[in-house]
Amino acid sequence: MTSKFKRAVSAVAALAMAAALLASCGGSSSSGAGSAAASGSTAGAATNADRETVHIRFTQFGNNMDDVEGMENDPIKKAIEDAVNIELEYDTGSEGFVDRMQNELYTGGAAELLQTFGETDKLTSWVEEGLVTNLSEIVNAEPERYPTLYKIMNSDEYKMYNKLYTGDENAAYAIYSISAFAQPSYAGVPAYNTAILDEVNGGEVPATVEEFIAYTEACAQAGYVGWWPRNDKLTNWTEIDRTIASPQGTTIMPPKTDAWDGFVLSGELGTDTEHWTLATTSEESKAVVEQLHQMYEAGALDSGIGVKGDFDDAYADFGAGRLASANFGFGYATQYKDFYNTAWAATNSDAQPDDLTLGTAPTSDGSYAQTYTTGTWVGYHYFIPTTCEYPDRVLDLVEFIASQEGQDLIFNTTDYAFRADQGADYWDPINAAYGYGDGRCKYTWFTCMFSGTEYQVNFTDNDWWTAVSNPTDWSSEWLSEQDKALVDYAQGVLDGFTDSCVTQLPAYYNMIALPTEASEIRTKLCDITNEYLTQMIGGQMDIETGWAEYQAEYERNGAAELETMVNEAIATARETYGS
Amino acid sequence: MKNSGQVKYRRSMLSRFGFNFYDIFVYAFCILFALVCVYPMWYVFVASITPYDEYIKGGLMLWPRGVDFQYYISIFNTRSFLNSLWISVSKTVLATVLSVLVTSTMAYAVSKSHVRGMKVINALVVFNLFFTGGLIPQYILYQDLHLLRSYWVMVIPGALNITYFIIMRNYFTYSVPKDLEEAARLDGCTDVGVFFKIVLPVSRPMVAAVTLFIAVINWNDYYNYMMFISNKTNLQPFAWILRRMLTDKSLMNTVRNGAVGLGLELPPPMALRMATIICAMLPIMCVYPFLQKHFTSGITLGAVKE
Repeated sequence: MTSKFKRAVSAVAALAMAAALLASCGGSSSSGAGSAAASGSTAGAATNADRETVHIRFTQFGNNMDDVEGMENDPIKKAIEDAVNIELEYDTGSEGFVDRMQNELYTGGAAELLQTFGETDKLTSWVEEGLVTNLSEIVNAEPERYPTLYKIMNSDEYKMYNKLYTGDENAAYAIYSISAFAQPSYAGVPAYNTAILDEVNGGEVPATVEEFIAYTEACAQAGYVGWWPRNDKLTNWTEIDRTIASPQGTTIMPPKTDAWDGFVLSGELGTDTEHWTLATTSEESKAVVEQLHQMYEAGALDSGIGVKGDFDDAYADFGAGRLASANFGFGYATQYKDFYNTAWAATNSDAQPDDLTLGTAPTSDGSYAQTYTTGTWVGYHYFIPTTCEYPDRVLDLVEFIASQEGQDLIFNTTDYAFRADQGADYWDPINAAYGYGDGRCKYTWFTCMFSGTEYQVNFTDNDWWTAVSNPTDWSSEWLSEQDKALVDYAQGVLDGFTDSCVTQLPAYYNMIALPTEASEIRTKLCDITNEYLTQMIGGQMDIETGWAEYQAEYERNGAAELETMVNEAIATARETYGS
Repeated sequence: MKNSGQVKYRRSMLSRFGFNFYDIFVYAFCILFALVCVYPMWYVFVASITPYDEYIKGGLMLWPRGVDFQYYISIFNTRSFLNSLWISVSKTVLATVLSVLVTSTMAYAVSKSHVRGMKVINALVVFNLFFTGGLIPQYILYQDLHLLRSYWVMVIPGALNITYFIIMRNYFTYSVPKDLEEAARLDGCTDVGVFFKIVLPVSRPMVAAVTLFIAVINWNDYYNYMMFISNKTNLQPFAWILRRMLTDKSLMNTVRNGAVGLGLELPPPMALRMATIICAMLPIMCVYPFLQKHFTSGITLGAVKE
């Protein structure tokens, strides 16, 4: 009896478990199918309001989330959520951010919409490993639901990038964010403390490299620090290179960002004769490093270089009147305005625009530093991971951001941006959408989704490439009279020599694809340069003996191979896309 | 003769002054070493309260050239700082208590190698000291345990500290007299009672030292936040805030703009960094005096009559 009862109970329990199992399987599958069906069946007629509300985590590098109250009351975020019918979660970071994104992607916990720095090898490997979603497949299936994205992803230029990354021009696995400035941007233009310039040089701006070096040394003798070039603790050589090395026909840059960084051009651009020679360890560069070392020894180059931070310590020193000159990307007028406000006016209550003087790009034997640019470059890539359960809804968000309404909301936020008692140049982080707090009048999320330089794009009236390569910079609209005058002044100075400093590269330079091994070689060479130049400039290593080691290290780590790879990649791009 | 003369001289110096050249050398070395260690901290403190106009004059700063607490006011008026201090204190207390409890109880159990299976457990734990799964398995594990982006990811994963587990296990094995435990059992104490009433009290110096080290580890830890939480600003530990103050200009701008909002002068970044370093050091330094009294030796001397 007891045994029969036990068997009966066991049978009932087993049936119950089986039923529960079937129900749970059926439930999950039906819900999955349901959502898929929903997205399919409601296509076209449905609006975002009719679609399910989903949670989307969006990651963007380098934002600030400290203003908790501002974030909680962010009107723009709310407007986006209402328009797309989603819950948005912002995620950011700087140190460890890239690693975290990668970990999350590989472990299935990635954000629904994630950003990377536009690295070719990362995109390619993620596609090969099936980690990211084919966006164009979803978009092309419902063109009426994603009209802007459909237009973007079916443009010839977008397909060209698809082909470059994956070999398949019809498969877009990322949103490609293209960077372009409204004006050419280049380095190597120092700004001077006018009072020191008057005192030491009779107000005369150094015109040549030799004059500039002599001026900074004279400043050191007069008790000032001669020069602070932005250097990111001696890992960023651009300003030093463009001010001192490049006018002398060489470069101390390691192969870093652009394929041609660290190289010097010979032959004619756009033809078979163009050739790039790796010049970082050349004898001419050695002479430049000797000049820099002498400047360092004399106090012409700040002795805190490599240790002190650029945007805080150096700014503070400049504001305190201890620095005679500084470089912070003044080949772009807006940056000069920002520098004046942040480094000078912020610490000098009686500051006047003519307290600073924007110099000219120094020449050597009549030659200016050369900045080679295509005018555009890939800024970021935005992915939807394959683990995302509702990529169609994430694309609804992207479609909204790409639309005129979305772009206006993010970039044209006048009503949120100003605080009357602070003046028009002050971004209020409390009452308005939180922001950088540095005077930029725009939202800080999604701003680089299509334009890597964070300007507004117009896909309504333009095709993708025209829109992203000709973005609208609204920043001058928000400027005070004084800021406008500063930008106009800087632009007026720059116009005098910009054409001599910037060389436009043919468009096919955008399509250069270096082999994977090149990336490893470039990283190694970059580390070697950082190590050797830092020591040689600072005097910890003798330049005479150290330079041979430096050259040998470069050769050991593939400098010659890299030079071949770069020239071959350029030749391939020229032959494939040159027409 | 020469040797005996030297000995005679040394004796006479020691007997006349109470010290000899060796003592002078030892004291001089120790004082110099202490200065090398203490001066940087003292310099940071002095710089954090010296008005910037005085600070940028440079030179050796032995004493503050004027006292100004505006940098501390700026810091403590920034919401992130106060919140992160609370997060750091709470996680340090919780994680340390949990870690000491888990590590010591496990170490005591494993020290009883005559109990079946303990050697295997010991080997498994020690194996993890040399070989770890790596970041991605760790990430998957935390994800499955729902620890990602939660406060507890800064507390729970460090509950068993393998390095201190080995130290504690060896201490319990070799330094705690077995006769004490047997005596307690004869008096009717359970195993748990023996551990908490006999073994832990006699191991007080070791437990105090381990507690201190674990507390310092937890106070300084920002890695778990950086890798496993990151976007929850209200969970930032102070070590992460300090890190950001040193490397991230966005937080620095927030603090500087906040200071201007308070009617203070725009503070220089260097001074704010100095003040932040002091704020990061002080709370954990306060723990030392409370544990100092436990660093006594010879607790078990005479406890057992051989």
